[in-house]
Amino acid sequence: MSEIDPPLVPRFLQSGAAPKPEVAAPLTDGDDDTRTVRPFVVTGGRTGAASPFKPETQLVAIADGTQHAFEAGQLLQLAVTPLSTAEASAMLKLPLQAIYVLAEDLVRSGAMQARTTQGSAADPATIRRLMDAVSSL
Amino acid sequence: MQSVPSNAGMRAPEPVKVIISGGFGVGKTTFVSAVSEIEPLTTEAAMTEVATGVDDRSWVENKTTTTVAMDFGRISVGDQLVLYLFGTPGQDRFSFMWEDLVIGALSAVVLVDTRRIEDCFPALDWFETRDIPFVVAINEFDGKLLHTPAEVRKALDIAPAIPVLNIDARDKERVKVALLASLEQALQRAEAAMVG
Repeated sequence: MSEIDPPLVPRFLQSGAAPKPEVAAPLTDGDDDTRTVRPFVVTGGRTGAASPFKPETQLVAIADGTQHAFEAGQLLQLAVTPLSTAEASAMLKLPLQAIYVLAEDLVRSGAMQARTTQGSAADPATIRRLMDAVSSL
Repeated sequence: MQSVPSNAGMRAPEPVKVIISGGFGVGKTTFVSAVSEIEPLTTEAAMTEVATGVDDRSWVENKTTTTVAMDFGRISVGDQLVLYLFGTPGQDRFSFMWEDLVIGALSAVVLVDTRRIEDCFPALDWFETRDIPFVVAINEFDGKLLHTPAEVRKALDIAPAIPVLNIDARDKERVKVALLASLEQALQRAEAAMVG
């Protein structure tokens, strides 16, 4: 672990007191709730209300998909143009919850950006824009 | 420490959604495809018998997981706003997964087939309970209107403020009318929230 190439380490971390990277850290969100990564595979997908991802949540790749493992890489390549988790699910033929898991990991590692609905908090101007768009279809 | 972002300037559009609901075979997917800019896609959500809390056991026997399919379409509004139309899974037994689907929805359209009017009860209950604005749209089959909107309103005990419309889910213009009526309900809600 001390063999990290110095240029990759920010200067403030180059002192001897640099904290060790915690490999396990991505598995939790830092809260005492340790179920951030839920056992989707085991449960077959019931994530409960705690999942921040929704079928309409928009995903945009930040990192290059070719640098990532199979499904994550595919998801990143799809998300070069923004798309929803539901679209990703349909295109990759994976259940929604699997997309949530992949996206959650990618967002946490900084490879992807996600944006979800503001829902009932949508302002009148936004709703009027939608109505104009529907009228002109 | 991070590699150079290839897509750094791009911002995800704001997603909003309207739910298209009603009983099995009532025309939800037809409705969605009438106005969607994409061919309606189908996504599958995995479910387990353990987590569902559904009392109909017939479909979970000998299964550890099952999947439910939902169809959806998209209407892009510029590059910073995108409207999704989600059809709820038709069967009552899948209503448990609506929570994930419906939370955050602007509004809903409840489709009614007057030959099986009771099929829309779960949808009506759901949106009323969750206080999600909705309209009721009677889908005419083969151009036949078996019951008038007034009759349907009475039968379903729909509040006077909620529109009840006739549509034909195959007819884009009439689907637009239903969608606009639904968004109008959301607009009234949003404007009232700003005032009060």
